[in-house]
Amino acid sequence: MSLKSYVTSRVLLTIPMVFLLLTLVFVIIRVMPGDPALLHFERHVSPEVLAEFRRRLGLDLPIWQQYINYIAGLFRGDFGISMQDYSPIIQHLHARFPATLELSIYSGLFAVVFGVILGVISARKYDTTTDHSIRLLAIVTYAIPVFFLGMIFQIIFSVWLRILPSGLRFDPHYTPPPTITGLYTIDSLLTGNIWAFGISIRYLLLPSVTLGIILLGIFIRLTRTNMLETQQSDFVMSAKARGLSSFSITYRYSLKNAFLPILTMIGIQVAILLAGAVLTETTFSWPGLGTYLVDRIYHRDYTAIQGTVVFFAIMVAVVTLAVDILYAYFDPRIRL
Amino acid sequence: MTNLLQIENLSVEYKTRRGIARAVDNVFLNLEENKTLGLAGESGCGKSTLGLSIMRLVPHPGRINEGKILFNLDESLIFEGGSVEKGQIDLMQLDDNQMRAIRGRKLAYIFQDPMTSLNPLIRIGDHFTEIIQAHEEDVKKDEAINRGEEILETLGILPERITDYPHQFSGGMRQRVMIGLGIALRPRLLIADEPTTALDVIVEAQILDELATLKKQFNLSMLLITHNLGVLAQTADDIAIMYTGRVMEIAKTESLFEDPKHPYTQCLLKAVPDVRKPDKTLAWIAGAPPDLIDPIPGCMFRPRCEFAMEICATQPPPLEKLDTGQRVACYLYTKGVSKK
Amino acid sequence: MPTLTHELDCELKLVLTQTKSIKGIFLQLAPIRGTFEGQSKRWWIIFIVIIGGSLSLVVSLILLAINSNSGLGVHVVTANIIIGLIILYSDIVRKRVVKYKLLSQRLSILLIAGISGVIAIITMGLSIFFIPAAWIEFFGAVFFGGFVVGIILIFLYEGFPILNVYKSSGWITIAGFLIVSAIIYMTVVAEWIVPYDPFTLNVGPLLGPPTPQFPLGTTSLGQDLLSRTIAGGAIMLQVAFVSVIICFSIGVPLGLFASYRGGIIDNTVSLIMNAIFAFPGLILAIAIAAILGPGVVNMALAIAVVYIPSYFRVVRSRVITVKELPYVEASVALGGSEGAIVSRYILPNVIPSAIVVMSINFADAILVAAGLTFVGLGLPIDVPDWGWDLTFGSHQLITGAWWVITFPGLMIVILALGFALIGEGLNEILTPKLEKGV
Repeated sequence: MSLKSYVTSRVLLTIPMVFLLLTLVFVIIRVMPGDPALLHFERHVSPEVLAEFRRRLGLDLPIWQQYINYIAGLFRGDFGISMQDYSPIIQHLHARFPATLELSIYSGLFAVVFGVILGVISARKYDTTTDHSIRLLAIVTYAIPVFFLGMIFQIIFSVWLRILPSGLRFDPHYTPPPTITGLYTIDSLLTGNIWAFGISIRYLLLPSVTLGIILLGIFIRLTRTNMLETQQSDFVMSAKARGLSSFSITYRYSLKNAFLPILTMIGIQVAILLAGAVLTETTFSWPGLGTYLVDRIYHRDYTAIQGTVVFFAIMVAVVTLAVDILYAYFDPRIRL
Repeated sequence: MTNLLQIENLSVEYKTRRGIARAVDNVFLNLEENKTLGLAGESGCGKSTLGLSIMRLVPHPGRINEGKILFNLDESLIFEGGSVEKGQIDLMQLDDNQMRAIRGRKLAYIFQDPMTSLNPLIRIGDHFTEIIQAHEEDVKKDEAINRGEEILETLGILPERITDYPHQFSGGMRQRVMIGLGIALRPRLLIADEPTTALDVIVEAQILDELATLKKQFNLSMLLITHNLGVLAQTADDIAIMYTGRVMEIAKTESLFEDPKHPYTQCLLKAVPDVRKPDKTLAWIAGAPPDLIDPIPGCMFRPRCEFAMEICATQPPPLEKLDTGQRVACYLYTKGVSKK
Repeated sequence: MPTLTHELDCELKLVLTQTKSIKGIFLQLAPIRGTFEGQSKRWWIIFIVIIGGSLSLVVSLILLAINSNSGLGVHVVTANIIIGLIILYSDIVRKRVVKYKLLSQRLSILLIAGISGVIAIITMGLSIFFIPAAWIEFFGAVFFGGFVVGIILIFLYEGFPILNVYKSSGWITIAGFLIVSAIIYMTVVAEWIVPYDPFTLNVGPLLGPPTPQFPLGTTSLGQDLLSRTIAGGAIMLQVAFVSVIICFSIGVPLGLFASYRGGIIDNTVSLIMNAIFAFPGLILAIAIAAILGPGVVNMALAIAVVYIPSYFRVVRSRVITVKELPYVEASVALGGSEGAIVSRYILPNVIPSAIVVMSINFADAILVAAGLTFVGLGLPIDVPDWGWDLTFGSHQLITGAWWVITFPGLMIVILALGFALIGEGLNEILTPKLEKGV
């Protein structure tokens, strides 16, 4: 199979998937029992206000027309308007996306780097105390709710030790670096502002480590299992029989071959990462998509909830597709 | 002639969920230079474990319990962080680095399944550079590739294909690549663990033929592990028959086929079909090998042996040399044991 | 366009086989077989510290509560233990009596467990729906609690041969099981052992640190945290059980049906399931819960939708493997009826994997339920719930009130850990991989 046909078929597979996801979200918010317009107003409102409200949001149209408008809007990059102030949702998403992206990148990096390192150590020190401790860490991190871990860190580092801030993205007394990419750490480096870089790292540290630790377990287990499996494989045995150094065997053989399944899993982990990001952001008042979503839930702003969830869906689909294509690039069996 | 490899009193045990299994039990073996020793037996008799223990690569949870593996090293090896003196050395006494220096360079191993024995993610050429650079650090990449191409050519593979990935080769060609990697550094001893079992008959014949040629060309000694006695009849100088981890009989190939001594060998040969004698009724051996985790005292073949005696149940018979030159582990040939 | 669909189909199979070989998110908890074999003693020390710590924490909570209440609680717990011992004794006796094989071993164990279970459920059910009288609840707590204690005792008693056979995976399963049943027990008898009413405000100081009178401190509303910690598992357990039952009873039959039939049904359902599976679970659950509104059943529904695909995928991959096994094909060739083939050959091969997914699903359901509560979508009122207390506690963090979040949080961790351990152990016991030969 050529790379081209692989990529084509992958894209073709992604399209119905995204379509299904969009429909699913629409069904949940608009079609399932419960009228979003009525749910939005907790108290009774006059029928005139309600009718006007529905008209402005397009909720008075027949359901199939709403669906067509919704899909057509998404193609134009229109995620609908908010129930609260009729502002376009994409505007909010655009403003808050960099924060979520920054948090996700750093915690993802943390999880992958430490997860793979610990997994490799665990596999190399197979069946020793080190191995068992790392395995246990992996099981325990699985069972900890991310916000609980975040709160414990907040208490230790912000309340007791007072060395790290307990929330927000940047020190409110200073102005954040000018927006270039939207990621504070990168923007501050691009503008050469080391001070701002230091501040943004300080604020980033707790949330990203918290989320990173939660994802850590999965990567440890994955790396370890795959390393052990490849270590028992015939080609590693024959590499040993050829007298290759154990370094070369660990990295060129076990890790390289274990890397492919890890890469596939990264695609799936993005979903978990984003779900975790919602809770982490809420814990640390991190001004990203997650806090926006939770904030909209408090305001019963169903169109905004729908828009945000759809945005998450598209993000996941895009990352999964990207990972699949990367996979093809790394695996010669598909590449050629 | 000198012994290239001399195995003394070797035992290998596997720790399993059910208990300890002795896969190799007090084995003595000799391999002379430039000879081929065939190692034959049923599956699970410990022949592969024996081969791997020479490389000191017995997989977890196996462990070499005791014994000596004496190897006659023709030159001193010096490598980063250590050296090995020439002369007769005990492989069991070497540390990991010394052992690594010997593997691939003096001892080569060819695995049974060529489909899974090459790293699917790196090119054939990289396999060659890896092994060459692992042992000769000053060799440049181009030079290593050139040597790889030469070796592929002697094995009848187009040298251009060195840039291909393993999945682009057929099974027979992969096994040739494996052999090529094995002989890349002109080792003294080539251990081939069922090198042709996964291949079809035509390719099998070609590969065996090539092994024989290479053996002459490179002055190789060979340990050929197989369950196929027919393969050994063509290629081996001596044959050792293994059963439940023990060597039952060692003999010259001709004398083994013409005059098998051990009852187990006799049974085995009766079970081999012969195209020249289509009327021959194939025999089979009643029963199954005993459980290695719960071994029986005495000779392991006793429950299936038609000549079993009382003494057979007491102690395993030692491997003794007969006047005719064979060595057999059976009380039938022990002097002073009264036959029934 | 048959060629395109065919190619897509092949692709899909490729994707599925790939994910199958590396397992879904759920089965990542699976270690490869032999991981624990021949392990050093030191591993057990770490293991026992964690498990033993969790268990003794739960048990000491119960004891602490009984001690500070020392009213009816003592009677309830004593009665529970007596009933538990009776169940254990009848189990031991049964083994000697069942010589004439009228009752098979398993059937009789089910019978005993079933009878006590039915009594417990009836009394519990009566108390909840019909007669809100205290004595019914009392009997419910006595019988149901006794039933749980009985199960714990039988499991410990019968468990030892299992431990011998399965070694570490047996240990892990039993450890997880003990943790979970200890928490279930605590929840069942909560009402009778809590020192204060978990709802009542101002029983103590506002946000008071742990003192002898209030061993775990008090909340910002002056409620006793010990009482709330003991009673707080009920909602989560209910949500978890309801959602797992929904998932199991939809996911497994759907997977069986679709993948056994194959063709267009299979492709469509798989596509939908994979789409849901790819979606961030919590976010989907948030969307559903936001529309459905707060409440146990709604929360359970939201979680159920998210986790149906994991059952579907596991069942599907098993069915596809099993369907092509020679004995199943032979049975098809011999003209076996479809129902018989599915129920006699396919189902028994599917159930073990589904059970493994189920125990992991429990752990996930608890974590998602806690997450939903945390974002404000969980429960309508201030019921005693670990998730709620954690959420409330997060507002008081700045004052340094560590106890308000620590204890409810730890309980969630312990409960999720218990289910995760069951899943991990069962995965090794129920879905063994081929052992490598010597």
